[in-house]
Amino acid sequence: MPLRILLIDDDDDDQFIFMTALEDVAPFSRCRITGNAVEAFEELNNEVPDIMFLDLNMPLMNGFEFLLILKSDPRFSGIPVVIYSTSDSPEDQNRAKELGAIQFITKTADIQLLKQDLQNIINASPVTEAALMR
Amino acid sequence: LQPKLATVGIIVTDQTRTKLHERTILQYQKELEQKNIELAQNNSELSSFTYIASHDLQEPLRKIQTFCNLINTGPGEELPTLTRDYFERILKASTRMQSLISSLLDYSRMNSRGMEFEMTDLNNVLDDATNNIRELLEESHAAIERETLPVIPCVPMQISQLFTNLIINSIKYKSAGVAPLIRISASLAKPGEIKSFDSVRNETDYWKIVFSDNGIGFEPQYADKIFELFQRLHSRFEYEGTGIGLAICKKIVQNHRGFIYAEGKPGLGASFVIYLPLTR
Repeated sequence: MPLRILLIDDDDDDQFIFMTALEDVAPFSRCRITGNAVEAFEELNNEVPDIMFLDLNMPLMNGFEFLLILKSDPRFSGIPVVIYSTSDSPEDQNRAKELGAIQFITKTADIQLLKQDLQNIINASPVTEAALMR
Repeated sequence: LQPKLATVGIIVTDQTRTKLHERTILQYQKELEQKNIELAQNNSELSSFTYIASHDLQEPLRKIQTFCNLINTGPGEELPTLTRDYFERILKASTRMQSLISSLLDYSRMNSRGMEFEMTDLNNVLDDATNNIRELLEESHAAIERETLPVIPCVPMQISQLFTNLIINSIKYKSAGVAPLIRISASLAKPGEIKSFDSVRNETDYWKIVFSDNGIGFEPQYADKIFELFQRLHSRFEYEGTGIGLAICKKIVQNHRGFIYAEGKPGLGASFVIYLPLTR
Protein backbone atom coordinates (compact mmCIF):
# COMPACT_ATOMS: atom_id res chain seq x y z
CA MET A 1 0.00 0.00 0.00
CA PRO A 2 1.45 3.37 -0.93
CA LEU A 3 2.06 6.01 1.72
CA ARG A 4 -1.07 8.14 1.77
CA ILE A 5 -0.40 11.86 2.13
CA LEU A 6 -2.82 14.75 2.42
CA LEU A 7 -1.57 18.26 1.66
CA ILE A 8 -3.70 21.18 2.82
CA ASP A 9 -2.43 24.36 1.20
CA ASP A 10 -4.29 27.07 -0.67
CA ASP A 11 -1.32 28.19 -2.76
CA ASP A 12 -0.96 26.70 -6.27
CA ASP A 13 2.77 27.31 -6.50
CA ASP A 14 3.44 25.79 -3.13
CA GLN A 15 1.36 22.73 -4.04
CA PHE A 16 3.45 22.39 -7.18
CA ILE A 17 6.75 22.81 -5.33
CA PHE A 18 5.66 20.30 -2.69
CA MET A 19 4.67 17.73 -5.33
CA THR A 20 7.92 18.22 -7.23
CA ALA A 21 9.92 17.49 -4.08
CA LEU A 22 7.69 14.62 -3.03
CA GLU A 23 7.87 12.83 -6.40
CA ASP A 24 11.61 12.87 -6.03
CA VAL A 25 11.90 11.53 -2.48
CA ALA A 26 8.83 9.32 -2.23
CA PRO A 27 7.66 8.07 -5.62
CA PHE A 28 5.82 5.31 -3.78
CA SER A 29 3.51 7.80 -2.07
CA ARG A 30 0.07 8.93 -3.10
CA CYS A 31 -0.71 12.57 -2.35
CA ARG A 32 -4.08 14.23 -2.33
CA ILE A 33 -4.33 17.99 -2.22
CA THR A 34 -6.97 20.26 -0.86
CA GLY A 35 -6.97 24.03 -1.01
CA ASN A 36 -8.65 24.75 2.30
CA ALA A 37 -9.13 23.27 5.71
CA VAL A 38 -12.90 23.00 5.48
CA GLU A 39 -12.64 20.77 2.40
CA ALA A 40 -9.96 18.80 4.17
CA PHE A 41 -12.52 17.39 6.58
CA GLU A 42 -14.50 16.04 3.63
CA GLU A 43 -11.31 14.41 2.35
CA LEU A 44 -10.71 12.90 5.79
CA ASN A 45 -14.19 11.40 5.81
CA ASN A 46 -13.37 9.68 2.50
CA GLU A 47 -10.00 8.36 3.53
CA VAL A 48 -7.70 8.76 6.53
CA PRO A 49 -4.15 9.54 5.35
CA ASP A 50 -0.93 8.23 6.92
CA ILE A 51 0.45 11.73 7.24
CA MET A 52 -0.77 15.28 6.70
CA PHE A 53 1.01 18.46 5.67
CA LEU A 54 -0.76 21.60 6.77
CA ASP A 55 -0.33 25.24 5.78
CA LEU A 56 -1.13 27.81 8.48
CA ASN A 57 -2.27 30.92 6.67
CA MET A 58 -5.38 29.95 4.73
CA PRO A 59 -8.80 31.50 4.08
CA LEU A 60 -11.96 30.28 5.86
CA MET A 61 -10.09 28.31 8.51
CA ASN A 62 -6.43 28.67 9.36
CA GLY A 63 -4.09 25.81 10.15
CA PHE A 64 -4.23 26.29 13.92
CA GLU A 65 -8.04 26.21 13.95
CA PHE A 66 -7.98 23.11 11.80
CA LEU A 67 -5.44 21.39 14.02
CA LEU A 68 -7.47 22.14 17.14
CA ILE A 69 -10.61 20.54 15.69
CA LEU A 70 -8.68 17.63 14.20
CA LYS A 71 -6.99 16.72 17.47
CA SER A 72 -10.27 16.79 19.38
CA ASP A 73 -11.79 14.22 17.01
CA PRO A 74 -10.83 10.68 18.07
CA ARG A 75 -11.16 9.43 14.48
CA PHE A 76 -8.40 11.75 13.29
CA SER A 77 -6.39 12.71 16.36
CA GLY A 78 -3.82 9.98 15.68
CA ILE A 79 -2.83 11.24 12.21
CA PRO A 80 0.64 12.79 12.30
CA VAL A 81 0.49 16.43 11.16
CA VAL A 82 3.45 18.37 9.81
CA ILE A 83 3.11 22.15 9.49
CA TYR A 84 4.23 23.46 6.10
CA SER A 85 4.20 27.23 6.33
CA THR A 86 6.07 30.40 5.41
CA SER A 87 6.19 31.33 9.08
CA ASP A 88 9.52 31.14 10.86
CA SER A 89 8.31 32.66 14.11
CA PRO A 90 9.06 30.73 17.31
CA GLU A 91 5.56 31.63 18.62
CA ASP A 92 3.93 29.83 15.69
CA GLN A 93 6.27 26.87 16.11
CA ASN A 94 5.50 26.56 19.81
CA ARG A 95 1.78 26.90 19.21
CA ALA A 96 1.86 24.20 16.55
CA LYS A 97 3.72 21.89 18.91
CA GLU A 98 1.23 22.56 21.70
CA LEU A 99 -1.60 21.71 19.33
CA GLY A 100 0.05 18.40 18.52
CA ALA A 101 1.95 18.92 15.25
CA ILE A 102 4.92 16.56 15.00
CA GLN A 103 7.11 18.88 12.98
CA PHE A 104 7.32 22.36 11.48
CA ILE A 105 8.71 22.93 7.99
CA THR A 106 9.30 26.55 7.03
CA LYS A 107 8.93 27.14 3.31
CA THR A 108 12.21 28.35 1.86
CA ALA A 109 13.52 29.02 -1.62
CA ASP A 110 15.68 25.91 -1.41
CA ILE A 111 13.85 22.84 -2.67
CA GLN A 112 16.75 20.63 -1.54
CA LEU A 113 15.96 21.54 2.07
CA LEU A 114 12.33 20.61 1.54
CA LYS A 115 13.38 17.28 0.03
CA GLN A 116 15.61 16.55 3.01
CA ASP A 117 12.84 17.37 5.48
CA LEU A 118 10.35 15.24 3.54
CA GLN A 119 12.83 12.37 3.35
CA ASN A 120 13.40 12.43 7.11
CA ILE A 121 9.72 12.62 7.92
CA ILE A 122 8.79 9.85 5.51
CA ASN A 123 11.62 7.63 6.70
CA ALA A 124 10.44 8.06 10.28
CA SER A 125 6.86 7.19 9.42
CA PRO A 126 5.77 3.75 10.71
CA VAL A 127 3.96 3.16 7.41
CA THR A 128 7.20 3.57 5.47
CA GLU A 129 8.92 1.20 7.84
CA ALA A 130 6.21 -1.39 7.32
CA ALA A 131 6.41 -0.94 3.54
CA LEU A 132 10.18 -1.36 3.56
CA MET A 133 9.95 -4.47 5.74
CA ARG A 134 7.77 -6.17 3.18
CA LEU B 1 -28.79 96.95 62.41
CA GLN B 2 -32.15 95.92 63.74
CA PRO B 3 -31.54 93.02 66.12
CA LYS B 4 -34.88 91.26 65.66
CA LEU B 5 -34.56 91.01 61.90
CA ALA B 6 -32.83 88.13 60.30
CA THR B 7 -29.66 89.15 58.61
CA VAL B 8 -28.75 87.66 55.31
CA GLY B 9 -25.26 88.13 53.99
CA ILE B 10 -24.65 87.53 50.36
CA ILE B 11 -21.14 87.10 49.03
CA VAL B 12 -20.87 87.36 45.32
CA THR B 13 -17.70 86.10 43.69
CA ASP B 14 -17.06 86.35 40.04
CA GLN B 15 -16.40 82.76 38.93
CA THR B 16 -16.30 83.59 35.28
CA ARG B 17 -12.51 83.51 35.03
CA THR B 18 -12.20 80.26 36.96
CA LYS B 19 -14.89 78.67 34.84
CA LEU B 20 -13.16 79.86 31.70
CA HIS B 21 -9.88 78.39 32.93
CA GLU B 22 -11.58 75.12 33.71
CA ARG B 23 -13.15 75.02 30.33
CA THR B 24 -9.84 75.74 28.60
CA ILE B 25 -8.06 73.05 30.60
CA LEU B 26 -10.79 70.54 29.85
CA GLN B 27 -10.56 71.47 26.20
CA TYR B 28 -6.80 70.93 26.18
CA GLN B 29 -7.20 67.67 28.02
CA LYS B 30 -9.69 66.47 25.44
CA GLU B 31 -7.42 67.45 22.58
CA LEU B 32 -4.48 65.75 24.23
CA GLU B 33 -6.44 62.56 24.72
CA GLN B 34 -7.52 62.67 21.10
CA LYS B 35 -3.92 63.21 19.97
CA ASN B 36 -2.78 60.30 22.12
CA ILE B 37 -5.36 58.03 20.55
CA GLU B 38 -4.29 59.12 17.07
CA LEU B 39 -0.64 58.61 17.95
CA ALA B 40 -1.28 55.12 19.29
CA GLN B 41 -3.25 54.28 16.16
CA ASN B 42 -0.53 55.58 13.88
CA ASN B 43 2.09 53.65 15.78
CA SER B 44 0.24 50.39 15.65
CA GLU B 45 -0.71 50.89 12.00
CA LEU B 46 2.90 51.60 11.15
CA SER B 47 4.27 48.58 12.92
CA SER B 48 1.63 46.26 11.53
CA PHE B 49 2.23 47.74 8.09
CA THR B 50 5.95 47.04 8.33
CA TYR B 51 5.32 43.55 9.61
CA ILE B 52 2.63 42.56 7.12
CA ALA B 53 4.35 44.26 4.20
CA SER B 54 7.62 42.54 4.83
CA HIS B 55 5.99 39.21 5.63
CA ASP B 56 3.72 39.18 2.59
CA LEU B 57 6.39 40.59 0.31
CA GLN B 58 8.56 37.60 1.04
CA GLU B 59 6.02 35.21 -0.42
CA PRO B 60 6.26 35.94 -4.17
CA LEU B 61 9.97 36.52 -3.74
CA ARG B 62 10.52 33.06 -2.30
CA LYS B 63 8.77 31.58 -5.33
CA ILE B 64 10.89 33.54 -7.78
CA GLN B 65 13.93 32.17 -5.97
CA THR B 66 12.58 28.64 -5.86
CA PHE B 67 11.86 28.49 -9.57
CA CYS B 68 15.14 30.16 -10.51
CA ASN B 69 16.90 27.59 -8.35
CA LEU B 70 14.98 24.82 -10.08
CA ILE B 71 16.04 26.16 -13.49
CA ASN B 72 19.64 26.59 -12.39
CA THR B 73 19.95 23.15 -10.87
CA GLY B 74 17.84 21.56 -13.60
CA PRO B 75 19.05 20.35 -16.98
CA GLY B 76 21.39 23.32 -17.27
CA GLU B 77 23.42 22.14 -20.25
CA GLU B 78 20.40 22.79 -22.43
CA LEU B 79 20.32 26.47 -21.51
CA PRO B 80 22.32 28.99 -23.54
CA THR B 81 25.07 30.63 -21.48
CA LEU B 82 23.43 34.02 -21.70
CA THR B 83 20.09 32.70 -20.44
CA ARG B 84 21.85 31.03 -17.56
CA ASP B 85 23.56 34.31 -16.76
CA TYR B 86 20.21 36.13 -16.73
CA PHE B 87 18.78 33.61 -14.32
CA GLU B 88 21.76 33.99 -12.05
CA ARG B 89 21.27 37.75 -12.05
CA ILE B 90 17.57 37.36 -11.22
CA LEU B 91 18.52 35.03 -8.40
CA LYS B 92 21.13 37.42 -7.06
CA ALA B 93 18.75 40.37 -7.14
CA SER B 94 16.01 38.44 -5.41
CA THR B 95 18.43 37.23 -2.76
CA ARG B 96 19.33 40.85 -2.16
CA MET B 97 15.67 41.79 -1.87
CA GLN B 98 15.16 38.92 0.51
CA SER B 99 17.85 40.24 2.84
CA LEU B 100 16.44 43.77 2.68
CA ILE B 101 13.00 42.53 3.61
CA SER B 102 14.24 40.37 6.44
CA SER B 103 16.21 43.37 7.73
CA LEU B 104 13.03 45.40 7.68
CA LEU B 105 11.32 42.64 9.60
CA ASP B 106 14.11 42.56 12.21
CA TYR B 107 13.77 46.31 12.58
CA SER B 108 10.00 46.21 12.96
CA ARG B 109 10.28 43.50 15.62
CA MET B 110 12.46 45.82 17.70
CA ASN B 111 9.52 47.92 18.87
CA SER B 112 9.04 49.26 22.34
CA ARG B 113 5.80 47.45 23.05
CA GLY B 114 5.86 44.74 25.68
CA MET B 115 9.35 45.64 26.87
CA GLU B 116 10.13 44.19 30.27
CA PHE B 117 12.78 46.14 32.12
CA GLU B 118 14.89 44.50 34.79
CA MET B 119 17.90 45.65 36.81
CA THR B 120 20.75 44.23 34.78
CA ASP B 121 24.50 44.04 35.17
CA LEU B 122 25.74 45.26 31.80
CA ASN B 123 29.01 43.37 32.33
CA ASN B 124 27.05 40.13 31.99
CA VAL B 125 25.24 41.48 28.96
CA LEU B 126 28.56 42.33 27.31
CA ASP B 127 29.84 38.82 28.14
CA ASP B 128 26.78 37.38 26.39
CA ALA B 129 27.26 39.62 23.38
CA THR B 130 30.93 38.71 22.95
CA ASN B 131 30.15 35.02 23.44
CA ASN B 132 27.57 35.13 20.67
CA ILE B 133 30.15 36.42 18.21
CA ARG B 134 33.15 34.55 19.57
CA GLU B 135 34.01 33.06 16.18
CA LEU B 136 33.94 36.42 14.45
CA LEU B 137 36.14 37.91 17.18
CA GLU B 138 38.66 35.08 16.81
CA GLU B 139 38.71 35.13 13.00
CA SER B 140 39.26 38.87 12.90
CA HIS B 141 41.80 38.80 15.79
CA ALA B 142 39.78 41.55 17.42
CA ALA B 143 40.69 42.68 20.91
CA ILE B 144 38.24 44.23 23.35
CA GLU B 145 39.41 46.44 26.20
CA ARG B 146 36.62 47.03 28.63
CA GLU B 147 35.98 49.00 31.77
CA THR B 148 33.50 47.94 34.42
CA LEU B 149 29.98 48.65 33.20
CA PRO B 150 27.11 49.73 35.43
CA VAL B 151 23.93 47.99 36.56
CA ILE B 152 20.87 49.67 35.04
CA PRO B 153 17.20 48.95 34.41
CA CYS B 154 16.95 47.70 30.83
CA VAL B 155 15.76 44.94 28.53
CA PRO B 156 18.85 42.67 28.56
CA MET B 157 18.12 41.05 25.16
CA GLN B 158 17.95 44.43 23.48
CA ILE B 159 21.11 45.80 25.09
CA SER B 160 22.91 42.59 24.17
CA GLN B 161 21.79 43.16 20.57
CA LEU B 162 23.01 46.77 20.80
CA PHE B 163 26.47 45.72 22.01
CA THR B 164 26.68 42.92 19.44
CA ASN B 165 25.76 45.22 16.56
CA LEU B 166 28.30 47.85 17.63
CA ILE B 167 31.13 45.32 17.91
CA ILE B 168 30.24 43.70 14.57
CA ASN B 169 30.16 47.17 13.01
CA SER B 170 33.67 47.95 14.29
CA ILE B 171 35.02 44.65 12.99
CA LYS B 172 33.35 45.07 9.62
CA TYR B 173 34.84 48.51 9.08
CA LYS B 174 38.31 47.67 10.40
CA SER B 175 41.43 49.26 8.94
CA ALA B 176 43.28 47.10 6.46
CA GLY B 177 46.17 45.17 7.96
CA VAL B 178 45.44 46.19 11.55
CA ALA B 179 43.74 43.96 14.11
CA PRO B 180 40.54 45.61 15.35
CA LEU B 181 40.74 47.08 18.83
CA ILE B 182 37.49 48.04 20.53
CA ARG B 183 37.59 50.06 23.72
CA ILE B 184 34.47 50.13 25.88
CA SER B 185 34.27 52.70 28.64
CA ALA B 186 31.59 53.74 31.11
CA SER B 187 31.17 56.85 33.24
CA LEU B 188 28.41 59.07 34.58
CA ALA B 189 27.38 61.79 32.16
CA LYS B 190 28.38 65.36 33.01
CA PRO B 191 26.03 68.34 32.83
CA GLY B 192 25.99 69.92 29.39
CA GLU B 193 27.61 67.09 27.51
CA ILE B 194 24.64 65.40 25.86
CA LYS B 195 24.06 66.89 22.42
CA SER B 196 20.46 67.76 21.53
CA PHE B 197 19.44 67.10 25.11
CA ASP B 198 15.71 67.66 25.52
CA SER B 199 14.73 65.38 28.32
CA VAL B 200 12.95 66.25 31.54
CA ARG B 201 15.73 64.52 33.43
CA ASN B 202 19.06 65.93 34.51
CA GLU B 203 21.99 64.94 32.38
CA THR B 204 23.69 63.51 35.45
CA ASP B 205 20.94 60.88 35.51
CA TYR B 206 22.58 59.04 32.60
CA TRP B 207 25.39 56.58 32.17
CA LYS B 208 27.68 57.29 29.26
CA ILE B 209 28.96 54.16 27.53
CA VAL B 210 31.41 54.56 24.69
CA PHE B 211 32.51 52.02 22.08
CA SER B 212 35.62 53.28 20.25
CA ASP B 213 37.49 51.49 17.52
CA ASN B 214 40.60 51.85 15.37
CA GLY B 215 38.73 51.20 12.13
CA ILE B 216 38.35 53.19 8.95
CA GLY B 217 36.15 55.83 10.58
CA PHE B 218 33.85 58.05 8.50
CA GLU B 219 33.35 61.62 7.31
CA PRO B 220 31.84 63.59 10.24
CA GLN B 221 29.00 64.93 8.09
CA TYR B 222 27.55 61.40 7.92
CA ALA B 223 27.37 60.99 11.70
CA ASP B 224 23.56 61.05 11.72
CA LYS B 225 23.02 59.32 8.41
CA ILE B 226 24.64 56.07 9.50
CA PHE B 227 21.81 55.47 11.98
CA GLU B 228 19.10 55.75 9.34
CA LEU B 229 17.33 52.68 8.00
CA PHE B 230 19.02 51.23 4.89
CA GLN B 231 21.54 54.08 4.75
CA ARG B 232 25.05 53.00 3.90
CA LEU B 233 28.26 54.90 3.30
CA HIS B 234 29.85 52.26 1.09
CA SER B 235 28.81 50.34 -1.97
CA ARG B 236 27.66 46.75 -1.61
CA PHE B 237 30.71 45.66 -3.51
CA GLU B 238 33.02 47.11 -0.85
CA TYR B 239 31.02 45.97 2.17
CA GLU B 240 28.08 43.62 2.28
CA GLY B 241 25.01 44.40 4.30
CA THR B 242 21.64 46.10 4.22
CA GLY B 243 22.22 49.11 6.45
CA ILE B 244 20.15 47.87 9.36
CA GLY B 245 22.66 47.26 12.20
CA LEU B 246 23.05 50.80 13.44
CA ALA B 247 19.38 51.65 12.78
CA ILE B 248 18.50 48.86 15.19
CA CYS B 249 21.05 50.27 17.68
CA LYS B 250 19.31 53.62 17.58
CA LYS B 251 15.88 52.05 17.97
CA ILE B 252 17.06 50.09 21.03
CA VAL B 253 18.57 53.16 22.68
CA GLN B 254 15.38 55.13 21.98
CA ASN B 255 13.31 52.29 23.43
CA HIS B 256 15.33 52.85 26.61
CA ARG B 257 14.83 56.63 26.47
CA GLY B 258 18.51 57.15 25.86
CA PHE B 259 20.66 58.87 23.27
CA ILE B 260 23.21 57.57 20.80
CA TYR B 261 25.53 59.31 18.41
CA ALA B 262 28.66 58.59 16.49
CA GLU B 263 31.89 60.49 16.10
CA GLY B 264 34.51 59.68 13.54
CA LYS B 265 37.19 60.80 11.18
CA PRO B 266 38.30 58.96 8.08
CA GLY B 267 41.21 56.68 8.93
CA LEU B 268 41.08 57.51 12.63
CA GLY B 269 38.36 55.18 13.83
CA ALA B 270 34.87 55.73 15.09
CA SER B 271 33.29 56.18 18.52
CA PHE B 272 29.73 55.33 19.38
CA VAL B 273 28.49 57.24 22.41
CA ILE B 274 25.46 55.91 24.24
CA TYR B 275 23.62 57.54 27.12
CA LEU B 276 21.29 55.33 29.11
CA PRO B 277 19.17 56.49 32.07
CA LEU B 278 20.20 55.39 35.57
CA THR B 279 16.57 54.80 36.48
CA ARG B 280 13.42 54.20 34.50
